[in-house]
Amino acid sequence: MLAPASLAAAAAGLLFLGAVLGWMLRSRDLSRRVPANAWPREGASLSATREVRIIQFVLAAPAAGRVSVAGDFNDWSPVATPLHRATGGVWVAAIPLAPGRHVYAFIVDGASWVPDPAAPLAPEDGFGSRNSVIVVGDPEPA
Amino acid sequence: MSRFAAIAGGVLLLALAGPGRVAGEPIDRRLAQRLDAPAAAAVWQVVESARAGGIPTDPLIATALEGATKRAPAEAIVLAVRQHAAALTASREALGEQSSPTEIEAGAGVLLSGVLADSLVRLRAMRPHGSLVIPLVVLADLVTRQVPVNTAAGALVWASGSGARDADLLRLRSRVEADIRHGVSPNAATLARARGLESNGPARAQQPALPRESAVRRRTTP
Repeated sequence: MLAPASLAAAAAGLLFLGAVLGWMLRSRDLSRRVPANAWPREGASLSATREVRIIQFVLAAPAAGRVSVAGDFNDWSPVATPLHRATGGVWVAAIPLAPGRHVYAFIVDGASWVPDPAAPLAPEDGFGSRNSVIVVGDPEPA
Repeated sequence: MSRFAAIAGGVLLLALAGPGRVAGEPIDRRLAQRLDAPAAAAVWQVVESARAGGIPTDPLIATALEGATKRAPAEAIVLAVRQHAAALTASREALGEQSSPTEIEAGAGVLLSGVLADSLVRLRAMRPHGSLVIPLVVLADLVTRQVPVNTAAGALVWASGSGARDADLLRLRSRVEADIRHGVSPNAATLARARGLESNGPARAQQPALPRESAVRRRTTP
């Protein structure tokens, strides 16, 4: 039989190790959920600390039925960031982006990848389509 | 401490150091969700190696996710990630250890477009303390638009050496793009528009020469 003092010591040890384990897992999950240039799902707090700026994406595509933008800022999701039809066949979306260099492309009708006609081109992506580049803010002022 | 407590603590410690953690960080959740297991593991190996070498890893994960979204074959995704990692490494070597992650990323884009690392070294020499992000983005854009590598790199090095600001370089890019759209050869458009920057700043003694061209077929006005 174990003495009550031994049992108490074992329980305290287990509680301590459990707390350490819980803290480690929680920290890792949080860091993965909010990478440096990810879509700012957590809103105001991220905006306050990362100086996120609102960038307007515009594409003229009068014949399109739907347009979205995919890039490193939304993990290249084809559906996360739809553009909304404005007047004159122009599609628009305002997206908060962290300062830095971002690569993206428009997706027209869920199938055609289209680079931004108004932005610099990125090199061939290795996947058979062209992307565009936007530099947000002045990450390293001269 | 009793034997029971020691065993319980040992079991918990083994759980902490489980098989998923022995080799390093667990695979990024996004990679695991959107790539098949062998491809995710291969990409993650590149990411871990890059992290150990001090190379930015976000661009590598983004490349893999882009490939997954575009339904590229797993082999093409892994190859693209490896090439990107090699370009990031070469970019950091050329631009210097003190370069920012954004500069390294932009420099990798330049190298992937076919420009030699020597041009990055020359650009850094022209702007030893200022940001090279915009010059690098403009250089990659010009080469992607079929401007000959030597012309594009020479124009950007020359412009940076002449004191051109980022806004000037972005204007140069958009004018070259418009000229090309209107039928001017990419080479001629770049040379003509770069010469248009001459009045923007005082020439420096160490300023390199603007590349020459034998025949400018057409020149447009701003």
